[in-house]
Amino acid sequence: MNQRIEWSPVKSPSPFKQDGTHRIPNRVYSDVELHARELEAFFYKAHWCYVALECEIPNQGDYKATMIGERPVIVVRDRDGSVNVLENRCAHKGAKFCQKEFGNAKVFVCPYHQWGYRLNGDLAGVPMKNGVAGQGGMGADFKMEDHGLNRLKVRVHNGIVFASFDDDIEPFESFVSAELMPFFNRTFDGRALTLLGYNRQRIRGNWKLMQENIKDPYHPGLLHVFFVTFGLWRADQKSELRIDPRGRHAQMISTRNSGGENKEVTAGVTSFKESMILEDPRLMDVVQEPWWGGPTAVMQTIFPSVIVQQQVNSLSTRQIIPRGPNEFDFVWTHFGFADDTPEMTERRLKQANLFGPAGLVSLDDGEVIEYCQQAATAYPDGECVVELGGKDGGVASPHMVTETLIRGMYRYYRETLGL
Amino acid sequence: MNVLDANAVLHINACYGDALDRFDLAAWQALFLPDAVYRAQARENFDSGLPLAAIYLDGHGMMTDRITGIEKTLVFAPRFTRHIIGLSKIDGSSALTPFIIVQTITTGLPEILATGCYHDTLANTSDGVRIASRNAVYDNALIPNSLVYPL
Repeated sequence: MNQRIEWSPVKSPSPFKQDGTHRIPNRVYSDVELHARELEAFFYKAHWCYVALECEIPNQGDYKATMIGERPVIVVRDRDGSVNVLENRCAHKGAKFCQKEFGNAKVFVCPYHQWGYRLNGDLAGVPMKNGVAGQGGMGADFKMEDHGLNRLKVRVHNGIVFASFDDDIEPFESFVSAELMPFFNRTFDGRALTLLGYNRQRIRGNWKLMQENIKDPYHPGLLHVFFVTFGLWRADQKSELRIDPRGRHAQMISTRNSGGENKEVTAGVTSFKESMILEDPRLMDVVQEPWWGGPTAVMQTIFPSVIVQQQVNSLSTRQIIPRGPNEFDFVWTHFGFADDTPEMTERRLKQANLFGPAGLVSLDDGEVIEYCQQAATAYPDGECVVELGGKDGGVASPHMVTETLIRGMYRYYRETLGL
Repeated sequence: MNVLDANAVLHINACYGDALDRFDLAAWQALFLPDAVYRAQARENFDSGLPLAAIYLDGHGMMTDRITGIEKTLVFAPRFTRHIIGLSKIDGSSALTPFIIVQTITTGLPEILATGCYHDTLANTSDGVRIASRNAVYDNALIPNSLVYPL
């Protein structure tokens, strides 16, 4: 048998079996071709992707290497104080020339043939450009200005930095949407931020599962026993869900209650353990901050690249870096404000015990995302049922007993990818 | 004078790895002084002077809360861990001790969970050497998904 396998540019048919997004086909979590289309449509076009907090690169020449989707980029503070985002890819042989995560540079020099670049990406030097002893060198048509590092569109918004490969991208505010800007600006209102540090984990699951996790107010009161018992997140607390008109971003906004047992919420919830009290209350020594203006937790998903967390006194950005359809890196950057007292900083650091790869709450999420991936990959023709709260395509909600935000994300997903 | 005996330091580190690998977290906790601080901190934070730690427990009370969290509230796949703890470089009451921790999740293959160095302050007590502070500084900033038990 002589069977030729041919590459086909024809896109495979939609994995969605019906209209709407109350059913999600497992294939979206493991299909290699869909993954390539997601990278192109979501990470490389038409979206502002998170790259840094300004406080990570406070001084001229400070840089940070990071990723947008699966592409390496560098975020650097230029001499005039502005922030540039450059492809971490030498214009000569394509080497990922910057191998350090953080540093300070006057120029970037690729070690391979020492092409040198200014902090704005302009090519500044090419060894042997004019030849050696009259021999060789670049041709007369070689123009330095044609061979700089590709420079991305950048938006620095009150201390948080987003970038895009897409020159035609819409303004940042309309990207985030008028519905969501108020709570986005509640955290990032222009106050100086201070960097507390990083946590990084590699989760063997599809990157969208993490977006879904933070668009899912159904699970916290069930999966996160730690949350439940100490009243940090319960289905009976005052809450609100916001979503942008296209369905891609969302905010889960809630106000903590005093804990204890509420029969309707805890009846039948096997994970509820009423008697648990903290041995050392400093672990969750919550102090109301004036800027909260009420809500004690606001969890924001800015599609596709980042989650912005305020859980009581703990603040972080959580960057999503996909690595093929089956795993992603999850990078937590914890921060505070420049006017925090030492006591407040200590409080933020202690509450960080709930988050990150070791988090008393977040650890559960990484685990169940891997459980989802294990079965979704094995059963690609199966589908998820996302019908809590109805079959709508993603709407704002005055309560949390709904999966509407996930339906909204997949409405946007289907529309954007033409599925 | 707080002169540390090298054999006593070997012994406490052997007990430390043994307690964690048997998931006997009460025995792990008992190796710390009541007001001891335990951290598991990524090296990138430690080297840059950034204070964030993945686990930060200030005293026996918080250690108890972490233990309760692990044993009664957290959801995670069953796993084994194996601490390979190296020889200590002792300087006064301080010690630097390298470690490798391998984990095996359910019936999967073993993988390295963390490699790094314990930065310790140790104290002689009537019960032997105890930990006054331990920062498990791990080299691999990236954790394979979750860090359930202390390093």
